[in-house]
Amino acid sequence: MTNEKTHRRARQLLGERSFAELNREDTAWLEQHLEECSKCAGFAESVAKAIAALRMSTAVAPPSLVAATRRSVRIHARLVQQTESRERMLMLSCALAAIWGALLQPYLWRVFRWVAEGLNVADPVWQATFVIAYLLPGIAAAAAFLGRRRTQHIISPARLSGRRTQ
Amino acid sequence: MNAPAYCTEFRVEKESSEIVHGLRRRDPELLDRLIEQYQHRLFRYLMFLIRNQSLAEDLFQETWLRVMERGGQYNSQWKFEVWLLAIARNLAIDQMRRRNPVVSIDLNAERDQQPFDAADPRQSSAVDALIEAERQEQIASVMDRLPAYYREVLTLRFHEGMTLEEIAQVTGAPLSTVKSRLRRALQVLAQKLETMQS
Repeated sequence: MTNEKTHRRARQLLGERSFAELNREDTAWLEQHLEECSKCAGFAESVAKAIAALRMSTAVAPPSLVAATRRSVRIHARLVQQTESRERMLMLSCALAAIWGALLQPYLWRVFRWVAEGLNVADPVWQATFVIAYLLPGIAAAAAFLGRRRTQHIISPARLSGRRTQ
Repeated sequence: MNAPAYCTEFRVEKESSEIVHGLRRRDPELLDRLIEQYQHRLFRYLMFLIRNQSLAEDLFQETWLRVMERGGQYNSQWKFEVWLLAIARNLAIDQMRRRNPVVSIDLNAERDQQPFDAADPRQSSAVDALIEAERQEQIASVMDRLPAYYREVLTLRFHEGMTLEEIAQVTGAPLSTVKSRLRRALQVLAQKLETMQS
């Protein structure tokens, strides 16, 4: 009755028993097999010992590492908070500038036309100048903003080397 | 639902929601508390996974920095521990990919870098402590030779006491894979220990 297949089944169930509940039928079969087979009973003991040893073994985070990590996280949390606060202010300023620009746009257009007429500048030239002058600050602000975002959340190796030098 | 279970669930939900809000604000006090609470679990997991003390220490720091930076992505439906270990795991894999082939995820650590401390001798007699220390040595030695994905499920299950579903979330593997890895890992571990003892 006890051939390789039954031993394999027993070992499989022994593994499974350590992390899941077996059904009544499997439990009864396994218990009976372990009573009859000393080899598998020994294996069951090894599994139990292995699990007990795994539960006992410990790895403890070195206190110096934990202290350095806390310092590092605090410093970087403050830096990120400051950066985000600056970004919020920048975005708010951009939004206000955009609203202000939109409100002023009809008057600026008239001013540009008046100056162009006085200087005898061709219509396409002063109109193109107006568009560039109107959009350039916004484009520059957006480029600066995107550039900052790309570089901001990268963990550099230099940030991590602090612990060893402290 | 009975009253104690409801109270526990309510407390866990409240705690998760506190973590969500604290992480969004990058609250230093909360981060400090989380580091204090999860320091050993995270370090143990990293040590078991990569078996290299120096790399585990770097990844430990990097994981907390990532938690601070990506705190806004944490969702109260997740258990914080699962989210934390998933971050650590992804960082470890990235690091291994960068370092490969100089350091591989299965490279055996030096003996003095092994993470298993002997049991506290004050809690047992000197002989018991010696036997326990010997067993720990054996386990450490066997674990060194196990593939990383076996070490990982073993530590998550038997050290961290995670459910199979939580292990599946951390590792991103299907539940059936987690089960088969656990079963196989235990078989290999027990067989190797048997061989060693005989």
